[in-house]
Amino acid sequence: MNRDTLDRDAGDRSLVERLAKADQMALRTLMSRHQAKVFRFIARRVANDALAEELTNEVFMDAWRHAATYEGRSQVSTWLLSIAHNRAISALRKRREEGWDEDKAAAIADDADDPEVIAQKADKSAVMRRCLDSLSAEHKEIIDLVYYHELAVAEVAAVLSIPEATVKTRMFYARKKLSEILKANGVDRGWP
Amino acid sequence: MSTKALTNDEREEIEMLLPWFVTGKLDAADRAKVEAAIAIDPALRRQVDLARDELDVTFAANEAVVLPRSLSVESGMKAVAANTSLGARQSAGGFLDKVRDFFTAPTAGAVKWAMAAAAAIILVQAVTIGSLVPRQGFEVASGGGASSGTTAIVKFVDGARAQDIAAELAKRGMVIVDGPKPGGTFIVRLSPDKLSASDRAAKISELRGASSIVGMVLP
Repeated sequence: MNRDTLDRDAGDRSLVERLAKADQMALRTLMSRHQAKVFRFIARRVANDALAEELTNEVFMDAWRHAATYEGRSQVSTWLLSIAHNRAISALRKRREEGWDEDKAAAIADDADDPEVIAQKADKSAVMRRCLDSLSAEHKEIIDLVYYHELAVAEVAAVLSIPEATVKTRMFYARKKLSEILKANGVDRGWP
Repeated sequence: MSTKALTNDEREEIEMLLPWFVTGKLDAADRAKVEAAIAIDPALRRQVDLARDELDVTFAANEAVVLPRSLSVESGMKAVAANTSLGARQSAGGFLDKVRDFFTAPTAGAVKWAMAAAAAIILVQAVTIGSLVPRQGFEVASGGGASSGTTAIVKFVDGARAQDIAAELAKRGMVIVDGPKPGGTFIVRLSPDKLSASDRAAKISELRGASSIVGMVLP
């Protein structure tokens, strides 16, 4: 962990300590630091902006309520993502129980093949992005946690509540799957 | 690890570490293991490039998630207040606390400077702040610049000085129109015009050339 990350986490820990003493300004600052990233993490999991916003608010409600129980074993950002992961899983489970058709939801979220999209498909990075988005939720989630949220192996394990060895293999297979999908879409990366 | 060829098991072990190698999140021992392996195995070096591509695309995909207008600290605070005991106690803190938190937030030097510049610009809008920061290279956030022309997502290198960022951007006719975003990125307007794909690529390449200030540029 570099110095900048250490300093930032120390600042976050101090905010959580103030949260535990019911300091509203600390909650504001914590939100301004992490709200967008938490929203993006959840939105890419549930594919529904309104639900993602509601769940993002719930994450900070949980942080407010449970700040006193934060033991500081993980970074605050990891703690928040862990809450976000659990909130998203519960919401998706509830939605399945209510008969929400996730395939239909994915189809809604997917762009239609209008001329702009067709043009985009010609661009390699656009193809890569679409292939990335077509991964399973589990694979997309771990790739987001590693590359976008820049979590170490142990931190991903803490967020997803899985062993570190499983983190490595899940990430490995997510990348392999991405390569396979890319190949099927005309981009051969020569691996695996 | 020796200089002899890797066994399949050794190779797979290294392959599994590559994502964290490119994000700089390996401990010293694993990092040394990966560095030794890629030094003797060109195919693994190629895989490092693939992992970097994945990192770039994942970053761009996440940054492309548009934040709803309704999502804000204010709306978040209201939601928490409506569902918890938030409103029951008044905080001892006030505006000064907020300012203190903002400016003491430990971030990379360049990002911290730019956050200060962006906050100042938003707060005073058209009021002159020339005595505090150079205006060149920045645009008032409410000027509508972010939505017009051709833009790119840029991450400046840690330790880059404000004056250098402003000067390098101005030299290229570019301007920061939004940021800092989570992750310390900024939206830079490459041109006030809508550029063709090739012109845009040329501008991005030109910006990447300013390696003393620019760490990463995403289309």
